[in-house]
Amino acid sequence: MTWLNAILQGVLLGGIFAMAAAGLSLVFGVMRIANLAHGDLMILGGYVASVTAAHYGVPVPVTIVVSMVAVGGLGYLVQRSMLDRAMGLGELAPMLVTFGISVIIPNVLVQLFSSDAQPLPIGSLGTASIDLGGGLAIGWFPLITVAAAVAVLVSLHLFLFRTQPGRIVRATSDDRAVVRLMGVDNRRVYALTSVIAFATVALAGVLYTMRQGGVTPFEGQLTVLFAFETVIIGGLGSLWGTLAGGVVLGVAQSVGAQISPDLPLLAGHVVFLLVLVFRPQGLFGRSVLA
Amino acid sequence: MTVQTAPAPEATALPAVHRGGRATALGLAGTAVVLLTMAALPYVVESGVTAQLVKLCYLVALASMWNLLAGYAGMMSMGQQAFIGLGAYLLFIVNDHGVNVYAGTLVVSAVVALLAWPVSYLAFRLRGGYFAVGTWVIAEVVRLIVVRFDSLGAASGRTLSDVTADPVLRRAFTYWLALAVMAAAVLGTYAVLRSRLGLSLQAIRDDDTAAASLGVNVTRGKRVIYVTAAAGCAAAGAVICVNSLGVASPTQIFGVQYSALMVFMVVIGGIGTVEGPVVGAVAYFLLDKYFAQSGVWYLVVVGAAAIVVSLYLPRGLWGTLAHRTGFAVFPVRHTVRS
Amino acid sequence: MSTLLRVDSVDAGYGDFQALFGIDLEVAEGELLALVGANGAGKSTLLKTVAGALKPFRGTIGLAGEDVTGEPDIRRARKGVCLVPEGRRLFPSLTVEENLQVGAATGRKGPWNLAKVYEAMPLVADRRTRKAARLSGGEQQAVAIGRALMGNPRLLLLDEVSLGLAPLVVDQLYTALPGIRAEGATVILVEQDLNRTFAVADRIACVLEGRIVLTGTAAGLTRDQVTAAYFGTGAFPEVKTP
Repeated sequence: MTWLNAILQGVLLGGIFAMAAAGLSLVFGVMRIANLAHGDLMILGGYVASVTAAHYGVPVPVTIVVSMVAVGGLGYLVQRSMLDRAMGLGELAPMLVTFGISVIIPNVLVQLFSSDAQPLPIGSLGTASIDLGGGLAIGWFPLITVAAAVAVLVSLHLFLFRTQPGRIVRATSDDRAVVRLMGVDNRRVYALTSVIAFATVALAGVLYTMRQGGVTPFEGQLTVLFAFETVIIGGLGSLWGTLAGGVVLGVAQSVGAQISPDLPLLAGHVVFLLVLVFRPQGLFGRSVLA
Repeated sequence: MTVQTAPAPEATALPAVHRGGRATALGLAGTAVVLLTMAALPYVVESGVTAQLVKLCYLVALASMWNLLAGYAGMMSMGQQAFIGLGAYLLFIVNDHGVNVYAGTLVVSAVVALLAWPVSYLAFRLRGGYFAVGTWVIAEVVRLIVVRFDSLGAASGRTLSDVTADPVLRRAFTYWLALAVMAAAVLGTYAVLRSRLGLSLQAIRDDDTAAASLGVNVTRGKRVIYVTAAAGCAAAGAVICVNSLGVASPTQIFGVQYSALMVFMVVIGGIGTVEGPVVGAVAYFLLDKYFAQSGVWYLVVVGAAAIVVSLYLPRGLWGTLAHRTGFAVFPVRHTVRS
Repeated sequence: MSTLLRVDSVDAGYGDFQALFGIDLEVAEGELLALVGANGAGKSTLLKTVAGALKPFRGTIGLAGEDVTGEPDIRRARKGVCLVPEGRRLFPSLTVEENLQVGAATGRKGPWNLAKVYEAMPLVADRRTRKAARLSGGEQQAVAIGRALMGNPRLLLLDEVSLGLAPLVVDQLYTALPGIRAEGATVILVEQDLNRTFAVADRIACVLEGRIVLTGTAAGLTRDQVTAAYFGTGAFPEVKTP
């Protein structure tokens, strides 16, 4: 039964990965930018929540909103002040900008908060669980995480496919020059996309932090790999593929951990590389990358 | 009825195509002088100075390799630390079997080049930012595998078993090794770029599809570069290992901070020129020497500098200078003079 | 009839390459002007410059008396200049209906909406749920025109409508033209087929190597004159000196 439990835990972990990866996938689809700082933004989300809870006594659920607003706002600033300009300078420039951000964020955090884990306690919610019988139990918290992940993905889907602004975002992703001929300011679309992406990754970061009980400054270097792997495993251009990718990665890591405590990372990476070898377009991908 | 016709073309002399001629000779002569001077240093200065210069040498080598990848083959890699670490760890193995560390550096470079060939098939499934992260994942996998070997020190690193006994000689040999690796990296890059492969690369860099339509074997060119860069990074990794008499931990030698370093040096110095990485490495070396003690804020400055330079000075320090003046120590471009 | 569009001494091009030399053009409100010329003459460049997708090196562009030279395509689209770009350029991952809906992003009020576009072009209505990438050339062209109409244009710019399409398909597209004009749109149409040009145009302008070499009413010009202007042979009434 422990194997089944491991798989279950993996599915639940995958929800967080999917949430983190959704923003990455969206930004790449619309602006062709691979955000190397994505993992650090996730961690930043956790830090904002933690600090707001610890120093300002804000109740933990509210810190989620605070984090999303703060990091989302940062996304707007970063896009308007740096990435808009970088996008006109070739393929390398936006990556170099996000690379610079990925150096700045963890080093600022370590300077402000030291490299000790910044806690974000969720009290009894962390251990409360539903007993499914037969040795199987689902924690309330992981269940909430998955619900949040599905909610985020469903909202994104509804936004992109059922609203005019969402349609405009998809049109911009298809052809950013022609969309201007219809009176659409493509730079506003980029800003909106960035805000959505940064806000969702902040949410993922807060839940990730809660799941672990705390967060450290350089963990972004780990989570960025998970986010990218999730997108590739699921396939570029597919929102539900991202969910599938997250689940696959989560299960791989979880099962790996069950085999041996030092295996989760390796297991996840190996599964990623296997997908790359045997199905490079991902599980639900629309196009081959290379 | 007036009919306009085009004027008859005048007979003109064919324009001359230059590639630096005299400038190349001067550049190479100057480089030779610099290298000879540097090689003479262990006889003149104390070993503390040359030990620091070892660091400068491998920084230049690393920057040159990253520049080959990103500046000429258009591949931004965040995973070169895989080969740096492999170079170091393979050195342990060959050294344990009686090969001295200096010849060993050559051996591990060759072995890593062989390993990099099949790895490239995997990495090339991805492009752009996804390629960057893919190479990073590969580096992580290598690290996670190496860490499982107790004979290699597992998570705590290990020291080299067979090194030159006399410390003064050892430091001098280490320094000359580093110098040789640096010279090979820079001059090797220059040689590659002046060859037919180099011309293909510049075409690839400018426009993949156009180059392919002209018959340039884009994938093969990129593969050669990938393997060369891997070999160069492995050599640098071996030098790092020899210099520290071992490796502190797999996490250190396989750390992504090496990639971050390489990005920074090449961006600051100038992507796509032979001299740019050298300038960038010197800049980083000086920054690190004088400011690393100020704590982590200096890294924040480094990150911010990378952003500012990539947005407002995209050719880097040397690149901007070269563009304005047309000057090059290692001329690679063909120019037309009529 | 008042002048809707005035192009005055416009030079334009791409980077180092100049494609248009001293273009002067006037289009009255409600009329249909046909631009005729060989490939590479500069017709598409001219339309792009009028639409604001290309900024001229020199000269001015006036829309209903207002100087819009400095305004980018985004603003001009909102002012009613809608371009159907060459190559159609539909949004491939969007359905036909979604493509049309994005066309309405100009925010302009007017007679054109989904129902009316479907009514004017049954070809489009039949395919409304299909992804744009899966349409034939003629269907794509129809959708591209419909998309521009959804913006409720004052000035509709049609670039190479019949390129690569079967004559029957082009016929269908041209039958929609009177309906479009009846709603008040002014049209500039790039066309290589002289029969169709003379059939629908009020006025004709011939473009040769970046210059307008002949302008006149369709009634007042002969086919020979236009053919000569197209190929750059023979004498023609109006020649622009460089």
